[in-house]
Amino acid sequence: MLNNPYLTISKVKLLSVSFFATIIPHFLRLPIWVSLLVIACVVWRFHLSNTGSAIPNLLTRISLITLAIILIFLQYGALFGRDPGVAFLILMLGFKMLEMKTKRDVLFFLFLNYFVIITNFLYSQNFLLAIYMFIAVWFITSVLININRLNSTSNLKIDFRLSFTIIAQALPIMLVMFLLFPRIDSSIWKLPEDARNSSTGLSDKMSPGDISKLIKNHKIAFRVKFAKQAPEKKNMYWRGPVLSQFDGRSWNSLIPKPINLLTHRLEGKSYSYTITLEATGKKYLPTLDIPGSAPENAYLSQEYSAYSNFKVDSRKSYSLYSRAKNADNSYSSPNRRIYTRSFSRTNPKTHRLIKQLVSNSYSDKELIEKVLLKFRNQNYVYTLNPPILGKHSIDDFLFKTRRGFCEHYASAFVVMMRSAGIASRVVTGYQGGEYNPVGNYYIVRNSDAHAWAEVWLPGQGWLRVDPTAYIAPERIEKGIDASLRNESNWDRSQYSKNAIVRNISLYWDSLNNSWNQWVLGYGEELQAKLLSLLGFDNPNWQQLVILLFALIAMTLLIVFLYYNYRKTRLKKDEAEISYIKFCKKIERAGLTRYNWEGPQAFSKRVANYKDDLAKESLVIFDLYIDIRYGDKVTSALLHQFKVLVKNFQPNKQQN
Amino acid sequence: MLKFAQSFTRRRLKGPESEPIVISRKRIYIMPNRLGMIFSIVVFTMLFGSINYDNSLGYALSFLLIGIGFISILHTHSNLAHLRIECGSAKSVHAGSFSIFKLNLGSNRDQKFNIKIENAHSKDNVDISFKDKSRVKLKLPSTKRGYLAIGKFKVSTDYPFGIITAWSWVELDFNSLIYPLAEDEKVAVEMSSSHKTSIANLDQSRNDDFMGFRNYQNGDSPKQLYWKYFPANDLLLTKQFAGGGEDDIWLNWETVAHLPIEIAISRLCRWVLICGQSQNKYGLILGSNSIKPNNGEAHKHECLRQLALFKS
Repeated sequence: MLNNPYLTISKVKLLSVSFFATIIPHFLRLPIWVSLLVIACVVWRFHLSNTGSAIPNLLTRISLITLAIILIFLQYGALFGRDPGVAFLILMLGFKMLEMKTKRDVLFFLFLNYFVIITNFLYSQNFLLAIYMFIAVWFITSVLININRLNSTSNLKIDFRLSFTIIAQALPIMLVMFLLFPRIDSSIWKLPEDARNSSTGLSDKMSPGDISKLIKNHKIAFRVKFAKQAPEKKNMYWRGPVLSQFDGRSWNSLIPKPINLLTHRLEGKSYSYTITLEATGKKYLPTLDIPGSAPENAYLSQEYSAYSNFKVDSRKSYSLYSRAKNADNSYSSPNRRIYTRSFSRTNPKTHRLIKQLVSNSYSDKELIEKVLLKFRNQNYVYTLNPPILGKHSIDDFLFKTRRGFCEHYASAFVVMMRSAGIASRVVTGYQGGEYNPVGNYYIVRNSDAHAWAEVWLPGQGWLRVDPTAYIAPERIEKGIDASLRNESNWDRSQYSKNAIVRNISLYWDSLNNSWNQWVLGYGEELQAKLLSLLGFDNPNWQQLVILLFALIAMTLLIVFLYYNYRKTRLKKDEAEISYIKFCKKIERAGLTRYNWEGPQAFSKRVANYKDDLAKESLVIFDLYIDIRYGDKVTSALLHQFKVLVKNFQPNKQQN
Repeated sequence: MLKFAQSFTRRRLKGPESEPIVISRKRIYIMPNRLGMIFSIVVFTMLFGSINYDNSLGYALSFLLIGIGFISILHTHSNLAHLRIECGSAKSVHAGSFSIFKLNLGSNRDQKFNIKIENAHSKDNVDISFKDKSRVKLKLPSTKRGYLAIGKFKVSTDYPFGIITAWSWVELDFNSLIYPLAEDEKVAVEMSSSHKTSIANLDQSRNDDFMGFRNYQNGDSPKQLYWKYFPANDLLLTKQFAGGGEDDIWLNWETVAHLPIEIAISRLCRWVLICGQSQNKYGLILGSNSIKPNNGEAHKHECLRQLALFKS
């Protein structure tokens, strides 16, 4: 018994194509049982259509849905949220496949296929996925068109071509709406927690080993484009959270308080730049050295770190200028109590050493140099794999293991300074960056994470001191890879590429950067810039909507006119076009064809009109009548006709 | 909504037009249909999600689909525009049954897909290839004899996406001739056998006028027997003629003129059908009009045509 005669096997084939086109990227992420269940549904559907059996009854369908809900809950521990939501949607579509009967069901199914594409963008929005989007839309639309035809399976080519045309015509509308649709930069309702990708970055705490964990991550932290000149690579210190509180083992930052920017004075060369920060899930915004001001919706802390008012949950761009140094020439350090606090109960050896050094030094500067020279001359090793440190971690490090990473050196250095009564603090951030000549910007990766120290000297203010530069100068000058070349667990794959691969990856990153900046980063801010370029300063949304609709209407009109123009041209065949040309030529020679006049009648009139005109024109008339009314029209005949018409020059013969 | 708009636009039709009708752009109405509403709900959900998640590619996809929706208006419109509708044939039927109008649809611009043609009683759909004709059928119930006009019908399409319907109302000058309803065979036979009403007119009528039926009597010519009536009713009847002639039968209006006109006509109609089954030649006299005795299909239809149009 044929219970679903509408859904023939060929239609099922088409629907499966469209269905799989939309869910393939999800297959890589979904639990295997979801994928298998969906495939089973499709296979089952094929079986039903093949044998013409009835669709599963209501009870079966309800139990399938219940089963799916239970399985999803067991898998994810929740029914709502990104991952369970997507799994649920895809399973429902699989079940929909089973119960489709009418054309309306089928069309609704295809609309939902469009919906599934958008769920991919919750995971990634890169350039390749955009291309995928167009291909998937093309597939679904073609199937949609095919379903709407009567003989739906006869010729898929027509559907694919028409669908391509329609998408091409829809592109201008998409573009106009993308650019002009009023954008707001905040959510309408709260996002589920898993809507954002997990992110990595610096923290406002530092225990030994934290930064080396980050360094093993080669993901891009941010990209920087300098407006004019870039500083030398060795001077690129990207400031992150400043850590000032030491508890004997780990470092914590002070609670950031905005400073008064009016009294914020800087000195040194000024650099303007734009940073595009990847999502960190935290509030800090890396800046070069000391920023002159704070980006929008952000502030500068008392320790010159920039903090956003909101967590950076998605890629964020900000422009700033920075200089190397704060112009502080006072003679008393602010909050000296905090910046000189060290735990004298722990690390006794270090304190003793410092007391000895202090008594041998004439100035703070000399003391600093002595400490740094000690690092350089006493076989300290720069390594990602330092041995475990005991309770007196600084003592152990300085006197026993002598192996450490930037965070160990910075931390040891600051403890020593504080022990000597010099105000000092640890600064975390990034150092260096990879230049991309293609897009003229720098790529800073998590592996460029770094920690250094700042000391406060009377009359000079806070000065940067990087102990790592004394132990492993190549880290600062050439980058992280140069200093860790011989480490066993250092992943060198990012760096050891040959020139071609390296170039391609630079181009790729440049493309991604532009994509991030101009497409994914297109929001309220860029829209305002674009509109002011178009002459709309401070546009309100009514103006935007009017402009939007005007442009859409214009696009539609252009497509409509183009469409009709093409059709009218299509209507006339080539022979007719040539014949009309021919008649116009005769008209110039003095004889006009009446609208109702056929070629035979007209040729008689021409023959009676002028002998010389008749001679040549009669051949053409005969040929036209042949083409029009003869039984065989070859392209050669048509070509001959066109050539004859082209060479027909009645005016010249007259002279 | 769509239904309302369609019935509203129906009223704007002025009256029947002669063939061929080419659906010009001016007379096409276009509106999203129910699937269009579903499509927009899906797309606006996507747009709302994109706004909330500030998802650029989500925006792009939503806008692409909105663009496709807009563009499909043009494609649906052009799928209906320049459709040519010509009258085909309409076979005559007796009043009370459905009359079938055949129409030829063509296009000399491009091929058209899934063109629906619809009136209150039937619908049909068809694909039309370039410079070719496709045939569609419309059914219309006939209630009385005479000409039945095809009436207003709707030509529509929702190709290519099924989300937007373009329609146009058409009323062609296209009629079907409806034959009278034939009187019930039993009634027609028995009424004319029991009351010999027509005998009164014997003198005015010609010799061989058909007078009705009477019960079989010995000696009746087998040629005059109404055989067909026998198996069902177990009653052998003889066709009775005024002149007793056996060659040509005349069916005369005057023999039934005393009856109400529609009943009279439907009786004559039945007689024509009965005579059409026999080999005899028969003729029809309707007042001043007469059709010479003959037989065959064409002759039968001519008689029925005259009956259909008589005094109507």
